[in-house]
Amino acid sequence: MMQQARGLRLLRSPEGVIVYALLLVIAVLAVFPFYWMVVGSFMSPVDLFASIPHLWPSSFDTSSYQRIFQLVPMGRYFMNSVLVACSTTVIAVLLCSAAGYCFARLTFLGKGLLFALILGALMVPYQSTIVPLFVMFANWNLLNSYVGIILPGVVSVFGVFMMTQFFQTLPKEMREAAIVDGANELRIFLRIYLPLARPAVATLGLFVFLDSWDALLWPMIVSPNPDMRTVQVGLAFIRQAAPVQNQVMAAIVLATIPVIVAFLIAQKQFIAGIAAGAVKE
Amino acid sequence: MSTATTIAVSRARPAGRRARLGRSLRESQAAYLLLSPFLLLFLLVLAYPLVYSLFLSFFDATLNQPPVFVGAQNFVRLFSDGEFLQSLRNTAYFAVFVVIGETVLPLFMAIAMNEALPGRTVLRTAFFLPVVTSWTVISLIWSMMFAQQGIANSVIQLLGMPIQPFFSDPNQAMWIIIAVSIWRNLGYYMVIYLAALQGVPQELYEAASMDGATRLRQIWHVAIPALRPVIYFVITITIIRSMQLFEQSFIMTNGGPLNATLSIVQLLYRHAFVNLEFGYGSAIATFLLVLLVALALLNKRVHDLVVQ
Repeated sequence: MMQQARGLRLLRSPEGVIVYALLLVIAVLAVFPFYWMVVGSFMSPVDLFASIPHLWPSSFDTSSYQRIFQLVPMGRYFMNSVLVACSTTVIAVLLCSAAGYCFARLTFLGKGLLFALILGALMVPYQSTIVPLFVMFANWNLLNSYVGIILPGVVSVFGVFMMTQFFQTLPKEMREAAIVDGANELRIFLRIYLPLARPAVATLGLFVFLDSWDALLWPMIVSPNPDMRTVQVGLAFIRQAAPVQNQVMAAIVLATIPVIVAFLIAQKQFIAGIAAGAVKE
Repeated sequence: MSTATTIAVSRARPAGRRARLGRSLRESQAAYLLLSPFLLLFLLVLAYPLVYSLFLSFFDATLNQPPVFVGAQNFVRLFSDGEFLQSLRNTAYFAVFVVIGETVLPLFMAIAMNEALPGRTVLRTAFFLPVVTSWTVISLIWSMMFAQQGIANSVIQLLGMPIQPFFSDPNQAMWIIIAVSIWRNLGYYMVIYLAALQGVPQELYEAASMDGATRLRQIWHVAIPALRPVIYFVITITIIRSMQLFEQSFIMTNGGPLNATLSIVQLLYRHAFVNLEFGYGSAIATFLLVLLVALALLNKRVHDLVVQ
């Protein structure tokens, strides 16, 4: 009620109305390219290049969607991306949770040094390791392989940092009590702490998945073979394969829909994750 | 009675110490067991390649040939390479405007969104659509919109203005890339600011309002000072991220026209993976690493001075 009243008060003042109008303009600018992409993918080239821009197709033309599957192996790109993004997410989340738990709740030799080392790695831009990684992977016959695409992405330094911070919020008495009951350390982590970390795991998983799904540079470098292209790599080269603009638009729509649907479902968690991550730092 | 207790305690003590030692040994073992998968991969795909990259930057190396040591030659070449110096200038120019745009605009949006507005959730979702879309997709969309015969030029024509060259003009091409880059992350930084704004205690506003401050003055004198650390955080990450510009210029302009949008990372990509000059590519990578670490440390120093 109070909040509502405050909001309405804002709209009553002239400056408030201007501010609100500006927000609406930004929102339209944010959405319009997506709208145009979807609508454009159903337009014929005549509509697309009309001198007075059409905002709605004069007739719905779905041929671009059929054509794009003939022009490029979209299905294959999707399969590659799903495989890469899912495995990266599962492995990264497990590795980061285990490491985060150790740093937050166990004492061991060299802990401070290791943690400092990992924190320091936060400053390393990933582009500064791609040349040697390419040379190493070429020597190990990992070019054009899923392992080659996935491996560098599973080491999320940020993830360890985030999970460490999360596990520090869980009481250490649970571990002590479990030890008295005779449980071993592995069981304590897997059965007690990991299940409690579900919210943090979900947030981290969401970020890792998106990062992996969106990655362009590394997948493009490590797998020159067109059959091993992920969706993003396929899109980066799509204009060479699809001559007509509505076909490119159809490809973009297909590639973007899963991510946007996933976002709309997990929106709250995603936004809360960004907010939490930033405020803590 | 009391003697019995004393005996029991003194007997228990060494046993307890041994048990404790055993337990901490087991704890260390468990920790290393849990940590080892991450640690091994960390060494394999991050620590080792980092050292390897520094090493390679002093060599002349390509595929299927043993590397040849060339001393600092790659770095000498780097600082006399016109393309590299231009990529450095381009990236810095890009970064300056992106940092300003991504710090200021989202702050304005967050302050406005912090007032309970009609349709707030819908607005937030709208602002977030570009954030969850990959750079590749975004760059493709915008390159079609700003193509010679794209929708942007149609609108410009409708308004009776002359058709613009956009991507064939060095200056316009760079500004489109800057605009897209700011546009894409508005929602992201807005959420960061919003979270911080919601942490500002309501009483502070109330106190200011009792002193007769208007809403605008309350925001200026209460919210902005409280947000200083977050503004600083946003500046820090936008500097670092914008120095890594790649996808946008790679897809929209491929560095052109006349290398006007060539970025450091794209130059690295060209030398290392198009020309297969691993040594020279690594020298660029080393430069980028040193530059970003220096920026991060500098930021930390300034942060400590400004915020504390």
